[in-house]
Amino acid sequence: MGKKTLYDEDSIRGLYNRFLQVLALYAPGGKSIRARLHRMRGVRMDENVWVGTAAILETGHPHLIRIHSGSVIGIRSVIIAHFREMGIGKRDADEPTVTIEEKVFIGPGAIILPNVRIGRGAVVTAGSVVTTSVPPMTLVQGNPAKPVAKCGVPLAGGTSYKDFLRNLSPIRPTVPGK
Amino acid sequence: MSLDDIRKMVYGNLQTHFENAGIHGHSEIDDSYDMVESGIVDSLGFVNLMLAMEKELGLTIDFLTLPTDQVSKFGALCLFLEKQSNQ
Repeated sequence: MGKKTLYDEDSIRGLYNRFLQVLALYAPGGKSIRARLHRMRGVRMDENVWVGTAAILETGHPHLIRIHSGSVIGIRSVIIAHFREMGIGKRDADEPTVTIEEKVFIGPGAIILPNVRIGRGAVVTAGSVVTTSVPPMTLVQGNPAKPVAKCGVPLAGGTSYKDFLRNLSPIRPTVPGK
Repeated sequence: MSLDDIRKMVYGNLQTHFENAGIHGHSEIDDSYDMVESGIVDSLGFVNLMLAMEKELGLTIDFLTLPTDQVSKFGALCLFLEKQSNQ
């Protein structure tokens, strides 16, 4: 059996994946049924990950996504792990192109593009577009998403929102010459 | 800097948001008014407020000495900033 490449996608498997993705869009149970459906599709997702309603996790090649424990994938967020045009066939097709480390919070409607690693405890604010990797414990915002603050505690994993706010430390503009 | 000056400053930085919530002056805001629960600030708004207040007061703000349940209360936040500015 030859080595699997991105362009050898089995059409039956592809159809099955897409069927599961459609089911996962509106199935109940962010940590249970929805998460399990995405795992069945091939997303490499630890236990204790919450997936919001209508989240789209890489339609064609879900195995390119790695999500670690304690993370939250917001409602209607989109994770794109490959572009056919990017020439990622040079890479090992089994290597994740989007890695979400422990206790990351992806806000509603955020878009995560390929070849990024989102560090432990980071927060992506609602509607942001992540085009480059995010350092651990960092709040990013905008399109493209830029770091705006360091997080003293992760937002995902049971921290109250107000405690999260209290522990934020703005990334202060640097003064030239200092 | 007086507490009233700080209240004016915080209100001024978030004036549009307060006005959208039907509040048209710092004197209309009750001390217990919760700026998070009322939709005046979110995480980004909070960071921007911290940066603006740091610039205006010329200090580095660290909210860790403020109790969690007080961090979003208008009165407690202003009192905390007033104490910080006079240290």
